[in-house]
Order: sequence, then C-alpha cells, then structure tokens
Amino acid sequence: MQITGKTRGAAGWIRVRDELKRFVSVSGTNCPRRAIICTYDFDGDIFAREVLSVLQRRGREFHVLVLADRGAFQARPRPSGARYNLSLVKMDRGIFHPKLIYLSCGEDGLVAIGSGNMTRYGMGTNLELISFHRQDGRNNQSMVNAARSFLESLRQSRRIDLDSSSRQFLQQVTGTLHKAERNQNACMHRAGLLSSLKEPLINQMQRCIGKQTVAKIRAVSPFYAGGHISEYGFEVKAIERLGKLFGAEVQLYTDVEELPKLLPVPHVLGEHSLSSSNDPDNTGPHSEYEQMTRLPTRLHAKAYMFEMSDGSAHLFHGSANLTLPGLFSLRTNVELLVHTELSRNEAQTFVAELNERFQRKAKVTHLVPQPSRPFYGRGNVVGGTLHMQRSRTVALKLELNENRRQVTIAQQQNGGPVHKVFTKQRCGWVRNPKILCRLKLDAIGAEAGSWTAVLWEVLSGGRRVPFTVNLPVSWPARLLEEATGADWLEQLVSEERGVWPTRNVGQDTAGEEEPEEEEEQLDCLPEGEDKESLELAAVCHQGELDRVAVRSSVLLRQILHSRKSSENCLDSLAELRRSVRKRLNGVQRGSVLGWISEAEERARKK
Amino acid sequence: MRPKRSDSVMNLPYWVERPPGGSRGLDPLGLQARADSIADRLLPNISVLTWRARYFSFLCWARLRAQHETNRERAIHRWEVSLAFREDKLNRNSKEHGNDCPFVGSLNITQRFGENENPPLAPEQVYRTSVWQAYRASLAALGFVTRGKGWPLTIKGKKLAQAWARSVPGPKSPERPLPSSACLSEISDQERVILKERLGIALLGSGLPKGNRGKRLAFYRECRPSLDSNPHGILPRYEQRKRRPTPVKTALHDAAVWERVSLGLNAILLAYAHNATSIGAIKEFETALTAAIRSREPAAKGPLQEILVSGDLETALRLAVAQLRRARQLLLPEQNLSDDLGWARNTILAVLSPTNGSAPSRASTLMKILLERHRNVKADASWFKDRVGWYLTLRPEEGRPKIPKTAQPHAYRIAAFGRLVYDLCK
Repeated sequence: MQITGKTRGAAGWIRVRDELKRFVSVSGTNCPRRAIICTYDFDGDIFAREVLSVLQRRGREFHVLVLADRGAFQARPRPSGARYNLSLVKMDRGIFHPKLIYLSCGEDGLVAIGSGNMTRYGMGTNLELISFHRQDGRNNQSMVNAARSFLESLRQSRRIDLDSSSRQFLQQVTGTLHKAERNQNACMHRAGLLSSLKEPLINQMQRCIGKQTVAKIRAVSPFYAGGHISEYGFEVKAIERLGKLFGAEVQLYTDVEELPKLLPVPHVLGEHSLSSSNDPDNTGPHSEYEQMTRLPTRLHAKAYMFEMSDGSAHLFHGSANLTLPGLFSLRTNVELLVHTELSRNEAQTFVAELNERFQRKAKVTHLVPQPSRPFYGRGNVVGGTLHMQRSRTVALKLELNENRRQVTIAQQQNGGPVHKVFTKQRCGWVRNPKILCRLKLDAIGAEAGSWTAVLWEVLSGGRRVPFTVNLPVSWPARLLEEATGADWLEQLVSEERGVWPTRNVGQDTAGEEEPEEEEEQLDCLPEGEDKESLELAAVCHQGELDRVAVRSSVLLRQILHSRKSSENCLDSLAELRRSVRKRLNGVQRGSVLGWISEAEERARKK
Repeated sequence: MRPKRSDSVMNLPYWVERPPGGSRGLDPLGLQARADSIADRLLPNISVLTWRARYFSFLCWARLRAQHETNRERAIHRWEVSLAFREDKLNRNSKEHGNDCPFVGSLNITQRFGENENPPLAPEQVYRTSVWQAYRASLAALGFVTRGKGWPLTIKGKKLAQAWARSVPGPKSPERPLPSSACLSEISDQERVILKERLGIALLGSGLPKGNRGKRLAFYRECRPSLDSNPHGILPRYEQRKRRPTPVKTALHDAAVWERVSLGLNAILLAYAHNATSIGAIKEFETALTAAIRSREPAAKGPLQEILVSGDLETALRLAVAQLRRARQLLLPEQNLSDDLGWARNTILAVLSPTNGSAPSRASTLMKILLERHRNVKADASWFKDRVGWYLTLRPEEGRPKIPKTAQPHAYRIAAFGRLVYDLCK
C-alpha cells in the first residue's frame, strides 16, 4: 500500500506552519489576537512545535484555546504544558470531529479547514487535505466570518459540554459578529462552509448542488474496518445511500486493499485504491526512492467531488468520513466541510491528481468489516478553572455535566491521594490551598508558563479518567468576578493592546485595596475619627474614579485607532457598552457609558 | 444557494506537507561512531555533556534532597534551575565570571528570564532536558549512583553530596536561587579530592575500576600540559610529532586523523547537498571539486559552520581537500587501521591519488562513495531522506533543501574532559 507521486500540481503541497507564519508576519501586529483550534485528536508536543511556536512570537502572542474531543483525549492523554488552554468537548452522542484553525488579529483573520488532526499524523505523515482562507478587513461573505458563525453555534449548542471559561472566550471571539451574520446557517452557506451541528451534511450538500445532474461521484475517504482506530470508517450503507441519492456512480479512493463485502450495488465497488501491486514505479530503483522520500503512507483526507455532465464539479472536503454518522445523521458527530465550485479545468486537475496518487485496483478481497466504535469519553467533570478569590487566593472551580452530590478527583492516574469535592448545581469548589498544592496546581499560571493541567476523576469502579484544569482563557475574564472596575478596565486595555499578561494566578495586586475590606475597616474606626475616615473614603473613591477615567480613555482611543472601519468600531463599542452595563455600578458606569457615547459619535464621523 | 467566492479563496485544497524530520544531520556520514570508539578507549565513562565537574557533586546532593519526592526527576530539575539562576545572577555581576563559568540553561535564562528574581515553578521552561539525565550514566559509571529504578546513591555518592552540602549551607527551597557558594567554579577541597580520585586524575588512590585506571592515568600524564591551559590543543600535538607508539598515543593520533577526515568528508557532502539542485549544478560541483583537488593554493581555514553560512562552495572544497590531504599524510602505512578508518583511507586515496583515473571521474567517484556511505547510515536516515534523498533521483522541481545554519564539527570528548580537569586542577 503506497501513495505515489509527489508533484506540485494545481492543488500543490503546503506546510501548515508556513502558512500560519505568513499570516502572523503580515497581520500579527493587529490586536486583539486570538486563536481557536478544533481537533479530534490532540498531541501537545506536535502542536507546540508546529503551531504554537508561530503563535507565541515575541510581541505577537495569541490567546489560544484548543477544543479537542474528550473521548480521544481520554484514550491517549498527551498534555504538554505551555501557554494555551485545552478544553475537552463532550458530546451527548457522537464525537467532536471538526478540524479547524481559526486565527484573528484585529479585523484580519485566517481559517484553515481540513482533514488533519493536531497530531504528527495529521501534520503530513498521513495524506491530508487542507484549505486556507484569509480575510483582510470586513467581508460578510468570507470563510472567516463563516467560521466565526460556526464557533458561535458551537457555543450555543446544548449538545456540547464545554466549560464556562471556554464558552466565554468563544463569545469574545464571536462577539463582534454583525447582526446580519447572526443567522449562522445562512452566513456559513454563503461562504461555502457546511457544519453538521444543525442539519445533516448530506442535505446541505444536496442544496449546494441544486437540481443539476450529477454524472459521477468521486469519494476520497479512509477505511477503518480493521478497527485499529477508534473512529468510524466509511460504511456500506453510506456508500449505498450516496449513490442512490444522487443517482450516480460512486468511485472510491481509499488506502486499503481489502474492502468489505458490499451489498449488491455494483457501482459502489471501489474502483481505485492505493495498491502497490500494479504500480510500475514500485519496481526497480524507484521503489527505494519512494521509501526514502517523505510521501505520506496512509490516507486520512476526506473529499467528495460531484462531477456534472458539463464537466464542472462541486468539491466538498473537510473532516467528514464517508460514514452514516459523518455525512448522513443529525445529532451525532460534529463535522465541517468546505464547498467549492470547480471549473472544468480545475475539476480535471483534481481528478488527475487523484489518479496520480491512487492506482486502479483490479481485484478486491472481500472482508467482513468490524468497525471499532469510537470512545465517547467518560466522567462527569466537564472541566476545571482556576479563579482568584476576593482574598487573593486561588480556588479551583469544577463544572459537571449533571447534578451530583460529590465527585472524587486525584492528581495522578494511579495511586496518590484522592479528594472528594461536594458539588451543588453542577458546580464544585476546592478552596483549601493545601489540597490545591497537593494537586500540583502550583505549576499552572502565567509565571509557570503552563495554562493547562490535567487532573483525574475517580469513577465509581475505581477507574480514573482525565480532565483539564485551565486558567480562564481570556485574561480580562480572570478577575471578572472579584476585581474592581479599574482592574477590569485595565485587563481590557491589556487585551486590546495585545500585551501578554504577566501576573501569576496567586500573586497579589499591589496597591489595589478591596472595597469590602475598606468598609469593614471604616466600621471599626472610633467615633472621633469619623470625619477623617469619611474624607479618606472620599479620596479613595475619587482615586478609583480617576483610574477608571484614565483606563477607559486609553481603551476607547485604542479601539478607535485599531479598527479599520467605522462599522467595526461601532460593533466593538457596542460590545464594550454591554460589558460595562454588566460590570460597573453607579457613578463609574454612568461616566464610562457617557464616554462610550462620545466615542461612538467620533466613530460615526470617521 | 451557490457560494460566491472572493479572490482570496483558493479553489483547490492543498495536500499537507510533512514537517522536516527530527535529525539535525550534524553527522550525516555517521563518522561520530568512530570518534566515539576512540574516545571510549581514552576516556571511558565520560561524555561530551559531562564537562563541569561540580555538577557531579551538586547532582548527588540534589538526588539526596529529592529522596522523598514523588517525582524525583522533576524535583532535581527544579534544583538545577535554582542553581542556574544563581549562576546567571553572578554572570550579570561580573563579565569575567560569565566567560569562565558556563552552565546549562544560560542562554534561555538570559533571554527569557533575565528580569526574574526567582526561577519559574515549571523548570521545563528554562531547559527541557535536565542535567541529571545527561550526567546520571556517568555518575553510575563513576560509582556515585547505582543503575536501576530511581538511581539510588551509593556510599561514595552520599559522601560527595555531604561534601557539597558542607560547602553550600542553607538552601531550603528551589523556588529561590541557590547561594553564591553553589557556583560551579567554587568547588571545595573535599569535593575535589573525591572527584579527582573517581575521575582517575589523582596520581594517588584507587580511583577508577580495574582496566580503566591505567588508560586514564596514561592519558592524563600525556595530556596534562595541554589540558590545564588549552584542551583543544591536544590533537594538533599528535599530528605533528611522531611519538613512540603506546596505546594512548596511537589513539590520540587516530583521533587527530579522524577529526580531519570527518571534517573534510562532511564538508564535501554538505557542500554537494547545498549546491546540487539540478544535473547542471551537479556537473558544476564536480568540476569545482576537481579544480579544488588540483589546486595547490593554501587551504582556507575555519570551521564547517562558517562555510555553510557563507555558502561559499569554493572555500568548502578547499578546506575539505586540505583536510583530506593532511589526513593522508598522517596515515601511517604500518598502522593497523580499523574498518572505518580503513574505509576513509581508501576513499581519500581514491580521490587524491594521481594515478587513479582523471580528476572528474575521481570527483564523481568520491560523491558516489559518500552517498553510498550516507545511504547506509541508519542513524541519519531522516537527514538523508530530507536532504540528500532529493538529489538521488534528480528532481529539481522538488525545490532546494534547507541546510541547517549551524553544523558544528564533532564535539570531541577530549575537550569535555579538558574542562573537567580545568575545573578540578586550576
């Protein structure tokens, strides 16, 4: 089994890192910088080497959130400490399977959608397909906005268990979506992005093709009947249905020589495979060369090309395998596909590339398929988040996906001390510093350089399954519940300027006094000093107001200067206005809202 | 509902290209094995990584402190970082100290953590591979720890740890830099006595296990004048003088020859890989190689690194040919050569001998030999695939390879040993 021929055709070869690097070099100076990676399987080391190294260049750091499937992570937990957050996504049914890289720098954005996971295999050891879509400034029909719509629908979806911090970050990313883009499906369809969150992919594919007559379907999909990968491969029924639905012949491109004994639908039989037996290049000195060069040896790309009678074609590529859960079912896997209309020439080029890489197979060995079922992930803890309390100490918040009285957690997979955490309303807190120390959460924090740690939930049978503990993804959110208004605005300014946070989780914020403690102190003062203490309080209050004034002035100026279009400015200011209404009270709120109104007027004139 | 695409959207998706493989290809011809075998004869139990003497005693102490930790290696790593922070502080106070006292993690600390007062809680941020991992095999070979689970300390190791603790009072937590007395250059007399004995450079005492001690002592006596001042100057002495053959002297002579051979052959191969982008370029390279072989001009000097950065093919070839010529002069006819050295001699003779065919054919013969040699080096398979493999089939459309900017010649163990001796005898 070999894939042959590596030439630079029209499709060409590209290294993911190079493309990301190009984008960061050009647009990386814009702020705020955020990145969201969706993947099924996740390998922290390869991610750090190939992607994170680009996103952590000095002065161009991104806030990074990785969303990975919980079952895949639990099967092979490979954490790697670095400055990014890892959240495990649990589905009620199916698996979290999209492969998406979303980068945004101010108004610029880059989206990569493909078939490769964030693992060594997904980065080119397997044969993978990927497409990059870039946006400079506002373009409602762009793929970047479509990807944001997808993330928004992911955030809103009730089928997905995701910790609140990650949802909050998703909201920040999608928060500036224009109202017209809030109709997520329409936005995604305009740009050609199909997701299986709300509708089966096959229905959307049908809609994209319309009433045109399909002459032939070429389906590129891996085949996992051997069952060594916990993921569905294509299934006989899926092939049948695809053929019947469009009334066309289906040609399969896959990477195994043994296919299952298919039901009696003759045109479904796999015509092409990556067999080495008929490959003329595999005899003589070339075979050695093939082994030496760095060609992929296994197929993992997923693409469906619908050829029309006039020679043009519709190409769908992305994460969906040719399986029932992948293409046909609703409420199972989360998948992404990119739709592209190909001209006659482009279609011919793509077919030529496929024919170059895949060899026609003369004979098919029948095999009884034994598909391995994917592991959906166990445990009730959705995730943990570290929060700073009013007393400036750190507390761990655990979020559960169902109501329980208590959960048991441990620091290690085997042995070691375990801790029971009592929960209420699907939420539990660990506030004892000694326990947090025993859980080794001291190695997580801005200073420690790692924003994610892995703890283990002890299930009833004694089995342990991992879950992740994160610092809140977005820096302003970290002090959201406890900080003063000036604190909060300061964090927003940092975020807007793209300044990397420097404070540790447990570090004191020197010079900032807490209002509550202040009040308590005032209550304790002797009566004779009342006047003086009231004056002191007034000065403190004035000081806080001054700080708020300065910070909001800097923030507004930053927004007005960094946004290219007035429309975008107004969106950001509206978002800020909403946040201010939630966060600030009394005089502070009134003042800041007034300044925002002034800024909006300036933005309109701009 | 048909999608209308903007210009920025590419119609066809890309195939994902695999990132370059892990090997940096510093030894593309696999010559290091021969150099290692020579070093094993001269300096058993020491590697190129074990070059600061006080790390031995410090690691014994750190191992003792980490006795009851659940993750011992990480605990030791944290102490290492704590030491590195102290060294960095000393370096900032005194430039001379910085030049004289290198330590592991210096580059990263200066660049990333220079302003931090205390080490970070995650030691991997400073450097990923701990010093303990690099030193523990040598520690075991020298009898300070025992191989096995946890690498427990021996009685000698505990004595060494106690000697370090006596000279460095007070460290309580790795969250702060160690005291100044922990500096790697501030080695105490007690540590010095134990280490010199175990390293076999004390002229008295039992020292090394049987078999090794004699060689080490002979080597030490032979090289003592150079080790104290300039450890890199040992090999040239054995190139120039014909000395009475003893096992140690023969090995030193072998080492000197081998340095030349490996530098020359690597230079040729890398220059070839760097310049051969098409059939025409390969012919041009062979012509240049022939001209360099015929040329009688003095060879350019300089390390391999400079050649690759400058990309000056002619300089590379001159250096390579000069190294090979020198190696041929050094090869003694009566010498009983090992397979590797014999292969090198035959290669050199095939290229440089005036009677062996015309110059262009000799150049292509050399390249064939080198490529064949390279093909057989399993350890460098990925380097071969990444760079040289492209040219075997002469596919210029695949693009030009990226030669690493830094390709240093072999880090020889003699230099590492020289630094150990300098630490202990200065």
